Amino acid sequence: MEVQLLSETTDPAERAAHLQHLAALGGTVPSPTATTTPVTEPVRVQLRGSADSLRTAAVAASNGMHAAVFASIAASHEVLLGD
Amino acid sequence: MIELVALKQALAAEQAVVYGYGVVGAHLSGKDRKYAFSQLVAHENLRDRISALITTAGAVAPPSQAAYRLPMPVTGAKSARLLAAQLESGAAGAAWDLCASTAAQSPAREVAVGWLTNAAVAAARWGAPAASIPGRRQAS
Repeated sequence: MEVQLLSETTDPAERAAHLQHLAALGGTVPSPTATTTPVTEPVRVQLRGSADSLRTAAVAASNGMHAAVFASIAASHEVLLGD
Repeated sequence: MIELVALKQALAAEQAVVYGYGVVGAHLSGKDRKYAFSQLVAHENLRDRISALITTAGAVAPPSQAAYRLPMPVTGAKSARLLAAQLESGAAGAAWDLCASTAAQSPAREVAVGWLTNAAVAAARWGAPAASIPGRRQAS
């Protein structure tokens, strides 16, 4: 999910956030792509869905630090969504 | 035991945030004051939920202090918004700590997860510096 969000985000701050999320989740940062697409409503839907999934994972995580990371990234996605 | 200690720390943090929002709201007007009031109510509700979790665990919830030392003088809207941003950023850190100290699927974990989102969104609303991983302490 984070990789997909990263590929569909052009805003530098949002890209930086997703890159940090990928690193926190232990993911691999993809190579830069030649083209990017603007933030669209589908991206907002994905962010919302990702935040919900991350919160569920946070509540279920047996490791507390993992739970905190999941909850934090969910919170970051909500920040990106705005009010 | 670890969870109870974390809950008491979370309660102390929320009691301070509630006090701080009383100061913040007094210096704001319009939309900012309305938002500050909504956050005050949210934090009061959260404080009460955490207090109830402590009581349910068979412990006594410590009362709020009469007053709290503010991190800066609040003299107008600008400093009030800055204080609000600091309060919410601090709340996000407290939520992180509670999240990390609680058991999976526990009521306390659920509270912590929702709390972290609320605090991070509010911190951003008040103009706090963007954090990719809200609530995580900076490595010293």
